[in-house]
Amino acid sequence: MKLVIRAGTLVTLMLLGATAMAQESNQTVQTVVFGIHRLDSFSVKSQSDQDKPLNELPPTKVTVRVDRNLDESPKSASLLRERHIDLAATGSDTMEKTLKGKSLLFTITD
Amino acid sequence: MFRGILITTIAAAGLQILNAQSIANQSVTLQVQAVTKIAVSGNPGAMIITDAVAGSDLTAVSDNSTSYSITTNTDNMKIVGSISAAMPAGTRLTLQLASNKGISLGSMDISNALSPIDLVTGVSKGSDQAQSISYVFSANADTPSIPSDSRVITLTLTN
Repeated sequence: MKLVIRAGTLVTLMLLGATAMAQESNQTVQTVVFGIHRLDSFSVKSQSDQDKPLNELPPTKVTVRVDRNLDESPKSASLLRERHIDLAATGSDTMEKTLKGKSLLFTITD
Repeated sequence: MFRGILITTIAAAGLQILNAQSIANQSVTLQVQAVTKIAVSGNPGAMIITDAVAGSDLTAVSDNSTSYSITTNTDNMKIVGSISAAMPAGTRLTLQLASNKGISLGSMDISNALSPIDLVTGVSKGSDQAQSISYVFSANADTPSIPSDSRVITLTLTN
Protein backbone atom coordinates (compact mmCIF):
# COMPACT_ATOMS: atom_id res chain seq x y z
CA MET A 1 0.00 0.00 0.00
CA LYS A 2 2.83 2.32 0.85
CA LEU A 3 4.39 1.61 -2.49
CA VAL A 4 1.14 2.36 -4.31
CA ILE A 5 0.84 5.77 -2.66
CA ARG A 6 4.42 6.64 -3.46
CA ALA A 7 4.01 5.58 -7.07
CA GLY A 8 0.85 7.66 -7.36
CA THR A 9 2.57 10.64 -5.86
CA LEU A 10 5.46 10.19 -8.22
CA VAL A 11 3.14 10.10 -11.22
CA THR A 12 1.38 13.23 -10.01
CA LEU A 13 4.65 15.03 -9.52
CA MET A 14 5.81 13.95 -12.97
CA LEU A 15 2.61 15.25 -14.51
CA LEU A 16 2.93 18.55 -12.66
CA GLY A 17 6.54 18.81 -13.76
CA ALA A 18 5.67 18.11 -17.37
CA THR A 19 2.90 20.71 -17.24
CA ALA A 20 5.27 23.27 -15.75
CA MET A 21 7.79 22.59 -18.45
CA ALA A 22 5.15 22.86 -21.14
CA GLN A 23 3.93 26.12 -19.66
CA GLU A 24 7.38 27.56 -19.14
CA SER A 25 8.16 28.41 -22.72
CA ASN A 26 7.30 27.97 -26.30
CA GLN A 27 9.70 27.98 -29.21
CA THR A 28 9.88 28.67 -32.90
CA VAL A 29 12.76 28.57 -35.35
CA GLN A 30 13.99 30.39 -38.41
CA THR A 31 16.61 29.25 -40.90
CA VAL A 32 19.06 31.94 -41.93
CA VAL A 33 20.92 31.44 -45.22
CA PHE A 34 24.05 33.49 -45.84
CA GLY A 35 27.14 33.64 -48.02
CA ILE A 36 29.96 35.87 -49.20
CA HIS A 37 30.89 36.28 -52.82
CA ARG A 38 34.46 36.68 -54.04
CA LEU A 39 35.44 40.29 -53.65
CA ASP A 40 38.42 42.43 -54.61
CA SER A 41 38.50 46.06 -53.76
CA PHE A 42 40.92 48.87 -54.43
CA SER A 43 41.47 52.12 -52.68
CA VAL A 44 43.81 54.85 -53.82
CA LYS A 45 44.89 57.61 -51.55
CA SER A 46 47.07 60.60 -52.16
CA GLN A 47 49.68 61.77 -49.70
CA SER A 48 47.17 64.14 -48.18
CA ASP A 49 45.27 61.03 -47.25
CA GLN A 50 42.11 62.08 -49.00
CA ASP A 51 40.13 59.72 -51.11
CA LYS A 52 39.88 61.01 -54.64
CA PRO A 53 38.70 59.59 -57.91
CA LEU A 54 41.51 58.31 -60.07
CA ASN A 55 41.18 61.10 -62.61
CA GLU A 56 41.55 63.71 -59.87
CA LEU A 57 44.71 62.33 -58.34
CA PRO A 58 47.52 64.89 -58.24
CA PRO A 59 50.92 64.01 -59.74
CA THR A 60 52.26 62.85 -56.49
CA LYS A 61 52.93 59.74 -54.54
CA VAL A 62 49.91 57.58 -53.99
CA THR A 63 49.27 54.52 -51.94
CA VAL A 64 47.28 51.71 -53.37
CA ARG A 65 45.64 49.36 -50.96
CA VAL A 66 44.28 46.04 -51.99
CA ASP A 67 41.66 44.28 -49.94
CA ARG A 68 40.56 40.89 -50.97
CA ASN A 69 38.82 37.94 -49.48
CA LEU A 70 39.97 35.21 -51.81
CA ASP A 71 40.71 31.93 -50.17
CA GLU A 72 42.39 30.59 -53.25
CA SER A 73 46.05 30.54 -54.22
CA PRO A 74 47.98 33.81 -53.93
CA LYS A 75 47.47 36.30 -56.72
CA SER A 76 49.47 39.27 -57.86
CA ALA A 77 48.56 42.82 -58.66
CA SER A 78 50.34 45.35 -60.82
CA LEU A 79 50.47 49.11 -60.90
CA LEU A 80 51.31 50.78 -64.18
CA ARG A 81 52.52 47.38 -65.29
CA GLU A 82 55.82 48.14 -63.60
CA ARG A 83 55.74 46.49 -60.27
CA HIS A 84 53.95 43.56 -58.81
CA ILE A 85 52.86 43.07 -55.28
CA ASP A 86 52.24 39.61 -54.03
CA LEU A 87 49.00 39.12 -52.24
CA ALA A 88 48.42 36.64 -49.52
CA ALA A 89 45.50 34.32 -49.93
CA THR A 90 43.47 36.76 -47.91
CA GLY A 91 44.11 40.13 -46.43
CA SER A 92 45.50 43.33 -47.85
CA ASP A 93 48.72 44.90 -49.05
CA THR A 94 49.83 48.33 -50.14
CA MET A 95 52.29 49.80 -52.60
CA GLU A 96 53.38 53.31 -53.41
CA LYS A 97 53.96 54.86 -56.80
CA THR A 98 54.81 58.33 -57.94
CA LEU A 99 52.50 59.49 -60.66
CA LYS A 100 53.33 62.27 -63.04
CA GLY A 101 50.21 62.98 -64.96
CA LYS A 102 49.85 59.41 -65.97
CA SER A 103 46.67 57.48 -65.78
CA LEU A 104 46.57 54.78 -63.20
CA LEU A 105 46.28 51.22 -64.37
CA PHE A 106 45.81 48.79 -61.61
CA THR A 107 44.75 45.21 -61.99
CA ILE A 108 44.49 42.06 -60.05
CA THR A 109 45.35 39.04 -62.07
CA ASP A 110 44.90 35.37 -61.45
CA MET B 1 -67.60 17.57 -6.90
CA PHE B 2 -65.45 14.47 -7.05
CA ARG B 3 -64.65 15.23 -10.73
CA GLY B 4 -63.52 18.71 -9.76
CA ILE B 5 -61.20 17.42 -7.06
CA LEU B 6 -59.77 14.84 -9.45
CA ILE B 7 -59.06 17.45 -12.13
CA THR B 8 -57.44 19.74 -9.58
CA THR B 9 -55.27 16.90 -8.30
CA ILE B 10 -54.18 15.89 -11.79
CA ALA B 11 -53.41 19.50 -12.68
CA ALA B 12 -51.36 19.96 -9.52
CA ALA B 13 -49.44 16.79 -10.25
CA GLY B 14 -48.79 17.99 -13.78
CA LEU B 15 -47.46 21.29 -12.55
CA GLN B 16 -45.22 19.51 -10.11
CA ILE B 17 -43.81 17.42 -12.94
CA LEU B 18 -43.30 20.52 -15.03
CA ASN B 19 -41.54 22.24 -12.15
CA ALA B 20 -39.33 19.23 -11.64
CA GLN B 21 -38.30 19.26 -15.30
CA SER B 22 -37.53 23.00 -15.45
CA ILE B 23 -34.68 22.90 -12.96
CA ALA B 24 -31.41 21.30 -13.77
CA ASN B 25 -28.05 21.94 -12.23
CA GLN B 26 -24.62 21.44 -13.69
CA SER B 27 -21.30 21.98 -12.09
CA VAL B 28 -18.93 23.70 -14.53
CA THR B 29 -15.22 23.67 -13.77
CA LEU B 30 -13.28 26.48 -15.40
CA GLN B 31 -9.56 26.96 -15.54
CA VAL B 32 -7.17 29.10 -17.57
CA GLN B 33 -3.68 27.75 -17.65
CA ALA B 34 -0.54 29.69 -18.34
CA VAL B 35 -0.19 30.09 -22.10
CA THR B 36 2.96 31.10 -23.96
CA LYS B 37 2.91 30.98 -27.74
CA ILE B 38 5.35 32.38 -30.26
CA ALA B 39 5.36 31.95 -34.02
CA VAL B 40 7.26 33.44 -36.95
CA SER B 41 5.96 34.31 -40.39
CA GLY B 42 8.63 32.27 -42.16
CA ASN B 43 12.32 32.31 -42.96
CA PRO B 44 14.28 35.43 -43.90
CA GLY B 45 15.67 35.79 -47.39
CA ALA B 46 19.20 34.70 -48.16
CA MET B 47 21.76 37.27 -47.08
CA ILE B 48 24.67 37.24 -49.51
CA ILE B 49 27.46 39.79 -49.30
CA THR B 50 28.34 40.82 -52.83
CA ASP B 51 30.04 44.19 -52.46
CA ALA B 52 32.55 46.21 -50.54
CA VAL B 53 33.71 49.79 -50.36
CA ALA B 54 37.43 50.01 -50.90
CA GLY B 55 39.22 50.40 -47.60
CA SER B 56 36.22 49.33 -45.52
CA ASP B 57 34.70 46.11 -44.28
CA LEU B 58 32.55 44.12 -46.64
CA THR B 59 29.19 45.76 -47.19
CA ALA B 60 26.70 44.30 -44.75
CA VAL B 61 23.37 42.96 -45.91
CA SER B 62 20.15 42.90 -43.94
CA ASP B 63 16.75 41.31 -43.96
CA ASN B 64 13.61 42.47 -42.22
CA SER B 65 11.07 40.56 -44.27
CA THR B 66 9.81 38.37 -41.46
CA SER B 67 7.88 38.95 -38.26
CA TYR B 68 6.85 37.17 -35.11
CA SER B 69 3.72 37.07 -33.00
CA ILE B 70 3.26 36.11 -29.38
CA THR B 71 0.44 35.44 -26.96
CA THR B 72 0.98 35.08 -23.26
CA ASN B 73 -1.21 35.47 -20.20
CA THR B 74 1.75 35.79 -17.88
CA ASP B 75 3.52 39.00 -17.01
CA ASN B 76 7.24 39.66 -17.19
CA MET B 77 8.06 37.15 -19.88
CA LYS B 78 11.01 37.49 -22.22
CA ILE B 79 12.08 36.37 -25.67
CA VAL B 80 15.48 34.77 -25.97
CA GLY B 81 17.34 33.62 -29.04
CA SER B 82 20.08 31.14 -29.85
CA ILE B 83 21.95 29.93 -32.92
CA SER B 84 22.51 26.33 -33.96
CA ALA B 85 26.25 26.79 -34.58
CA ALA B 86 28.69 29.67 -34.35
CA MET B 87 29.03 31.89 -37.41
CA PRO B 88 32.24 31.62 -39.46
CA ALA B 89 35.25 33.57 -38.23
CA GLY B 90 35.19 37.19 -39.27
CA THR B 91 31.43 37.33 -39.76
CA ARG B 92 28.67 38.64 -37.55
CA LEU B 93 24.95 38.02 -37.43
CA THR B 94 22.87 40.45 -35.43
CA LEU B 95 19.20 40.08 -34.61
CA GLN B 96 16.70 42.69 -33.49
CA LEU B 97 13.11 42.06 -32.48
CA ALA B 98 10.59 44.88 -32.32
CA SER B 99 8.09 44.74 -29.48
CA ASN B 100 5.01 46.56 -28.27
CA LYS B 101 4.56 44.40 -25.19
CA GLY B 102 8.12 44.38 -23.94
CA ILE B 103 11.44 46.15 -24.13
CA SER B 104 13.50 45.31 -27.19
CA LEU B 105 17.19 45.16 -26.36
CA GLY B 106 17.99 46.36 -29.86
CA SER B 107 20.42 44.77 -32.27
CA MET B 108 22.00 41.80 -30.51
CA ASP B 109 25.02 39.86 -31.76
CA ILE B 110 23.84 36.29 -32.03
CA SER B 111 26.91 35.02 -33.91
CA ASN B 112 28.11 32.81 -31.07
CA ALA B 113 24.95 32.56 -28.99
CA LEU B 114 24.88 28.81 -28.60
CA SER B 115 23.17 29.49 -25.27
CA PRO B 116 20.09 31.73 -25.45
CA ILE B 117 20.56 35.46 -25.05
CA ASP B 118 17.88 38.01 -24.18
CA LEU B 119 16.29 39.83 -27.10
CA VAL B 120 13.11 41.27 -25.55
CA THR B 121 12.48 41.56 -21.83
CA GLY B 122 9.59 42.61 -19.62
CA VAL B 123 6.92 41.23 -21.92
CA SER B 124 3.53 41.88 -20.38
CA LYS B 125 0.54 39.63 -20.83
CA GLY B 126 -1.51 39.93 -23.95
CA SER B 127 -0.79 39.45 -27.60
CA ASP B 128 1.73 41.15 -29.86
CA GLN B 129 1.22 40.58 -33.51
CA ALA B 130 3.48 40.86 -36.57
CA GLN B 131 6.47 42.46 -34.86
CA SER B 132 9.43 42.85 -37.19
CA ILE B 133 12.51 40.63 -37.09
CA SER B 134 15.65 42.28 -38.42
CA TYR B 135 18.84 40.46 -39.31
CA VAL B 136 22.15 42.04 -40.33
CA PHE B 137 24.94 39.91 -41.77
CA SER B 138 28.35 41.59 -41.85
CA ALA B 139 31.95 40.53 -42.34
CA ASN B 140 35.47 41.84 -41.96
CA ALA B 141 37.33 42.86 -45.11
CA ASP B 142 39.58 39.81 -45.03
CA THR B 143 36.85 37.24 -44.58
CA PRO B 144 37.17 34.61 -47.29
CA SER B 145 34.35 33.95 -49.69
CA ILE B 146 31.76 31.60 -48.25
CA PRO B 147 29.53 29.34 -50.29
CA SER B 148 25.89 29.40 -49.25
CA ASP B 149 25.57 28.27 -45.66
CA SER B 150 22.82 28.35 -43.08
CA ARG B 151 22.07 28.50 -39.39
CA VAL B 152 18.92 27.81 -37.40
CA ILE B 153 17.82 30.57 -35.05
CA THR B 154 15.61 29.49 -32.16
CA LEU B 155 13.33 32.05 -30.53
CA THR B 156 11.85 31.14 -27.16
CA LEU B 157 9.19 32.92 -25.16
CA THR B 158 9.98 32.11 -21.58
CA ASN B 159 9.92 33.41 -18.05
